[in-house]
Amino acid sequence: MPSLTIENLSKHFDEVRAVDDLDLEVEEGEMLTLLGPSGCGKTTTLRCIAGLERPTAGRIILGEGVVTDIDGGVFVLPEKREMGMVFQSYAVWPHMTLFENVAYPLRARGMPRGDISGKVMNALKLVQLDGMEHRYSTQISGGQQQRVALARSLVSEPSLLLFDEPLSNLDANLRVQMRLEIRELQERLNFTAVYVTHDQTEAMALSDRIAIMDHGVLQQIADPREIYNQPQNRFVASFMGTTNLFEGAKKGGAGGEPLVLSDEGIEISIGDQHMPDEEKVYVSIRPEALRLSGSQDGSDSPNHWNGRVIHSIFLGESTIYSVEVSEKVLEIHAEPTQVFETGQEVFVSAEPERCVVVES
Amino acid sequence: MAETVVQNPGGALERYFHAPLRRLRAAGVTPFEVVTVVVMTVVVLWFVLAPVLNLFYGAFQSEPPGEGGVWTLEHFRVVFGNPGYWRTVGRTLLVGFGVVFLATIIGSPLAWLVVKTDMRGKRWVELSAILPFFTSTFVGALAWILLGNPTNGMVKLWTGLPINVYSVWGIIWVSGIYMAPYMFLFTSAALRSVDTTYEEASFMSGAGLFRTLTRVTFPVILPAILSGMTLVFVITMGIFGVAAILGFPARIVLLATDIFAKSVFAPPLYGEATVAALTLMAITAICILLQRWILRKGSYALVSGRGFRLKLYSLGRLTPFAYLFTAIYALLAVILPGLVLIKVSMQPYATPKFGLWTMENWEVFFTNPDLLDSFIRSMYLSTGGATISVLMTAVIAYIIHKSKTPGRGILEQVSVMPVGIPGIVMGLGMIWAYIQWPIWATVWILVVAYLTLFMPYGVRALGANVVQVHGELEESSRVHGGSWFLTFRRIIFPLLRPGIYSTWILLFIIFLREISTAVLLTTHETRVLPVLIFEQWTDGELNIMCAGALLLTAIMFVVISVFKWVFKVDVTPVYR
Repeated sequence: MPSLTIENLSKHFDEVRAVDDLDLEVEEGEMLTLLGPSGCGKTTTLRCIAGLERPTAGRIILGEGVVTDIDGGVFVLPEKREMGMVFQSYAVWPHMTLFENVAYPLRARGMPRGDISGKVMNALKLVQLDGMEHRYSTQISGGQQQRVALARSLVSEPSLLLFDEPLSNLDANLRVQMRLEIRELQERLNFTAVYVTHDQTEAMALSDRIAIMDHGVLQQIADPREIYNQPQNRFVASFMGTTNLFEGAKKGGAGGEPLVLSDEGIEISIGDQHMPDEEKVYVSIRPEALRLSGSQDGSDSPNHWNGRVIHSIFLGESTIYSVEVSEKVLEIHAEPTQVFETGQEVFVSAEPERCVVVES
Repeated sequence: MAETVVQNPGGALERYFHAPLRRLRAAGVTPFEVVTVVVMTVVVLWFVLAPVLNLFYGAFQSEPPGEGGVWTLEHFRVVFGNPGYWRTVGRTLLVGFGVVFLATIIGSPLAWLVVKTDMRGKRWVELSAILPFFTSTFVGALAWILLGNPTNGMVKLWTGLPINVYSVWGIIWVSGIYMAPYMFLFTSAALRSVDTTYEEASFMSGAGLFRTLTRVTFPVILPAILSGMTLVFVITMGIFGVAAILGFPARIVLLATDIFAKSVFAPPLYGEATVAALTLMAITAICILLQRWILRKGSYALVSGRGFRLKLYSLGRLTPFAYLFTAIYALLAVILPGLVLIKVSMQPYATPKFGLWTMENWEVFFTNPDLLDSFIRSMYLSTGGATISVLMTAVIAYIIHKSKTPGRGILEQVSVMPVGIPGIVMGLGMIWAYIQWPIWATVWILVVAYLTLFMPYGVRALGANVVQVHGELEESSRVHGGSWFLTFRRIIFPLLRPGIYSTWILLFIIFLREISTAVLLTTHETRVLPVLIFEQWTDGELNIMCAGALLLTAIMFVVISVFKWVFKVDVTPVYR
């Protein structure tokens, strides 16, 4: 029984299709991230779930209750949806104390006065703000405001939590710390959440599953590992981390095994992966899937190419080499112990199963 | 063939009613919102257009308002054919430019001193620069009759200087010093919003103080200064009190007093007055269009997201001059006029001498039923009128900045139009529009006139507040269970409250002291305090006039103080 179901959701702003025929399911206790570049429709989707935006078409079902059904004429107002939401700007009301901010959802939903105080203090304790309940938002830091927003969204134990790029206004260190805290809280309290971000590292660190969107269309939905290792198409492959993308044609090898001949003339063996029907074939090889060596060893195994180092960046934990192979410059992440000079002739290799065939 | 032209009524309904309604729904607009927007647009359109369009109608009518008549071009022929009229127009323009110049060279430097330098005692400088705003040009002119008249003016008696305020220069002088606060407010608001890094970047590029001021600071705030100058010019064009008090004794006529004389002095010449009013409105309209054309590229985005500290220029050896400049201004605009009003209000007749102290002039305001009536009427009008105006402009500002309803653009355009309508022109337009309505000859005609004329002040001041309330603050309430009404009551209203209070004060003061409009719209039974003071002047009751002017000022100060110290409201007027 999914916690949230989205069917055929579309939202058009005049001619612009912000969200185009989206289907999505979020399981109970799952943290799903909507990931994509700005303007991909992820925030619009979230606002449709919240009821802050009325979709052009589609249905949204929360648990067993339909909250939006455009054809059926159903649109539940945001305040009746029993959700919690953390906004990008925190939206901590400046005229209320932290206590009043967190108590607001309980008061608005008519909880008896006596029960409120305990719940609020619990929520503040969860985000480590106990003892600060009488302060105002102007007296606390950005990170603390974000925690207040988190406590406020959690306090009424909503069936669904929505996060709209909640960490994008924080500085880098705090962002890393806060995303850890959010993940820990989610695992401890086991709440269901939809999280919007444009930061792929954040998405990887936080999510059970990631839904990648582009131009209002869902590109791929899977767990972080699969998204990274088995990207469905070129967009997913290049948006999620860095990759070396090859464009080429099908070719039969000497032993009859399938090969891809890239436009630059590089032969890539893809193992037993399914070859698509289209004429053009795309292959994605992650920088860390490529190996560098100074001498040609095991030259009879597939995917062995000659190259020349044209640039290197030492990062401590690894070294990034730019290696030219048949006029194509590849990015390769090597162990820091491996040292090659610029201009040096090298040998590049990759295991066939890590040369992933993707759709266009 | 006939079938092809048969209209499908269901189709029309679908096309012109259901389909647009669906589009609104999709945009998230509620029916309640649509109704509010439509009602407000109709009300605002009526309020603004009724007096203006009636002026165009009246200028071509042979008879006075409400008496029918035939279409005629006679009034234009008579007015435009009179060479004296064109001299009046020229004189009015001279006064307008003179006042803008004087107000700018007083107000803008004071703003720079307060915002950007290390001068000590800035609170006092700021106070001296803002106080004249609250005292108003009309009261200032009354005081300056006593100070600067050519026969027994106190300046002449004490210093021997041959000063004569009954002149074009006198009108420019008095209007200019009391308009300086507008320039101060515009300039200081702009200076405060200039990101200091602009100036620091200039210093780091090797530019000195003078080059930074003239090449960076000044060009960046120029749009704001230009907006201030336009407002001062438009207000000056319609200024009645000063022009009448200082102009009539020397037979110096400006357009505003010309309109008054033509419509009030026997025989009333409403048609000709209306032609003059149209001339005046044309001048202000050209001025505003010119300003918009100059600023067509938009003003600069001044404020940076992060908090910034204001760079303090060190005045050094120039400090004494800064104090001297401020002190002279405070002396001429506030201290001397205040003292002379107090002195004369406590004497039995106008005299430069001291002594013969009496409280009679004050007592009449509380014993004479006529005077007491107009005092109470003024209080009702200002408190009630300001309250209605704040509620109305709050709704308009909210619609303009927050609603997604199509057509709100009309409201945005029309609600600020009255900025270009001088007060006395509005008064005449009101006569043409409402003379046959039951509100005529009651205080309600003033309420309607003020609501219309000062709508832009409320819409702009509250608009500045509304845009500051981030949309997510409202949405956060909705998502966490707050209904529309609860969100309004617990989130929107509390966040807007400071802005609502300070706008109310601004409107209260403007309503209380307004004379240009009131002078044409009140009868003996409905006159308000400023009109009564004006009548004391025409009757030669200078001492009662002084007491009245002080009473008017005192009410304003009491109300401002209560709001500032009791309700902790920022009472500095907001302009954009």
